Amino acid sequence: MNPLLRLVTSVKFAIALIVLIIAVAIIGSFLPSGTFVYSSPFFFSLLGLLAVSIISCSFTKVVTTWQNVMAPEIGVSDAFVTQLPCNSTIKAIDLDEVKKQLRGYKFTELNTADLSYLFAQKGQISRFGAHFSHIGVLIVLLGAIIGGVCGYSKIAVVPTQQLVTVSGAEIKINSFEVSYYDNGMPRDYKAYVTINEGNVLHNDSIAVNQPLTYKGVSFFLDSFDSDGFYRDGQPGWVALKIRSDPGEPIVWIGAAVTVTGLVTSFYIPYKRIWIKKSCKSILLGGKTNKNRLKFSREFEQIVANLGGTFPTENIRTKN
Amino acid sequence: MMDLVNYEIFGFEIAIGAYLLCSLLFIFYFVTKRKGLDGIAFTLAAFGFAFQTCALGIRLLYAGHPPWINTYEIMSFFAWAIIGAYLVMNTRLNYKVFGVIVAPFAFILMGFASLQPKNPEPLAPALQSVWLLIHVPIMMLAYCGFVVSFAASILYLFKEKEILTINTSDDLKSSNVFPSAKTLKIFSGFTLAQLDDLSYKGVALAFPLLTIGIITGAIWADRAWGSYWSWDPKETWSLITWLIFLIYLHARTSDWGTKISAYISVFGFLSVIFTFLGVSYVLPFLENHVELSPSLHEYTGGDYTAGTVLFICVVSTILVLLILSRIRPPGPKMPKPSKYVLET
Repeated sequence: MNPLLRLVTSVKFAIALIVLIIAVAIIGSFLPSGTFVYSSPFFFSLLGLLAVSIISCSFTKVVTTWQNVMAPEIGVSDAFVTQLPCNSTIKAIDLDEVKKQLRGYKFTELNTADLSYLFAQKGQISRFGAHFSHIGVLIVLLGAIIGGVCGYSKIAVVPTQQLVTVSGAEIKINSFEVSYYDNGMPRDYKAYVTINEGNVLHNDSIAVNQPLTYKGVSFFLDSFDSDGFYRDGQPGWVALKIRSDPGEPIVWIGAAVTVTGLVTSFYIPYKRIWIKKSCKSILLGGKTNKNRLKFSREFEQIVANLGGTFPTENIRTKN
Repeated sequence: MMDLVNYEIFGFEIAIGAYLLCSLLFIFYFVTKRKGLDGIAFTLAAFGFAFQTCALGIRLLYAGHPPWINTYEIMSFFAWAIIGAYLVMNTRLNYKVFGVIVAPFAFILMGFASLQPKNPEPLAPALQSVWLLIHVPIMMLAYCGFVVSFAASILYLFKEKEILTINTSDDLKSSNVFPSAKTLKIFSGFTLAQLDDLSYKGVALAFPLLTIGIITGAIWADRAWGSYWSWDPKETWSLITWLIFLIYLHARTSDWGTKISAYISVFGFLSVIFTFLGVSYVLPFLENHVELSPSLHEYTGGDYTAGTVLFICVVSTILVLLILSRIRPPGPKMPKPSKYVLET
């Protein structure tokens, strides 16, 4: 592999980038009004490099994952099996008996003149979870870029009880209501508005946590003229935050993909068991990517059900 | 109404006392290794938890909103959640020894809470959202997972250090079987592998939850402020925490060793604490987003009482001293325990 590609696809490179991003994020959070840091070219380059790292890593590794899952190595050596974190030897029985013990596993078989191989795997989707998450993060970044390039966000000060045009919408704030709790804290802010669409009037409202969306543009309450002139108890103006973000749905899709990937990779263990049968005995070895202690107990049970014993030194800190 | 407040405060105070006693007993147990103390301490934790559950329930009744709005409520709720998680963990296996980390942590949170103004506040407009009921419990559960991971990692580092000390001082010929009776006694049968596994499980629970928590927070911010991400310090620090645990997960896919994992988990936990507390108390630069919906995370709007600041200083100094005194990296030629086959 090209040395540059090897560097970019390496976990160390990704971790180095993440460390740098963390460092910049911390600096930005400690600087007064430090949010400019997050729109600096340096920070953007770091995010860009991270995206490159994720893309190249996904492209190279997803192929390997696919091959490993679809065409696993079956004809393995004895040494390979005995070096697996869980392994045991039992007396030779019919492999169908072994299959019965391995519920929910998908089998691949290979038979040679004097040896039979059986490979059992379960939870293959787990192997793709990390890839889903990586793609999800890329989609989020893409959505954020689209939002940054094509979207806008601005504050418009709208005089009350007048029809005005803001961002393509003819809007009139009919009234603005503030309600208070007994202790004087504000309870709710609500603006009742009318939108004029080709001389058809729609009545609607905008409240905190309930923005108004009209033709892809969202209207949020921002502030109001609290010390200004009041006519009939109405403030003179209400400031609206007007936002259009075509990238936003993409961000939510990316977020959903990321979470799906995480749940898949964290909660579905990928279990593999290699079985090698000779005329006298059967060699079994297995490993998993999650919850190794639980798997070793399962393995122990399977071996016990098949009439074998389990080596004592089965749990290692690493596989 | 007045009666309910008194009952709530009574429950809270009983809980704080129980957690303090529990912490002291656990620390005593940890140092002296006297049998039976952990059982008593555990019972005390359960006792305090029962009282605190009542206190939070009463508060929910008379405040009319879930008890995670102001600083007092959220600290108390976090302490309750972590003790609850600890008790739940112990229904399946014996994890009592974790109390030596969890109980003092809960007590510190309670002590912090007790210094805050306790009167309930009605919900500000921005907080009146269904996401208040979703985002906060998800984040709390994620934080509990990180606390569990932290506790396992700290115990891992303690145990590893003891193993190394014993191993080198006794100059064992066969270093394959090393945990001595002494370490086994303190850690009630946990192996390094089990502690590492538990540390990972904490993160495995918490990381997806943190991700979901950040996303729900973004959705809420989008509805309330009109921007799903605005580099608010709370958002930034939640991202930093997320990134640290991202490193944790990636470090585990490479063979960097379980000790590195334990250290990253400890750093991640410090970031969790900073996200939870430091953002409001250490970073004094919180700018309100918009007039109508100021930052949702300023709980009571940032109380800089002398008591609070002093409390934070004292507690963090003690913690730093404790960590420095106990966890030193082993010498250069120490064997890596991860290479050895451990006892089952």
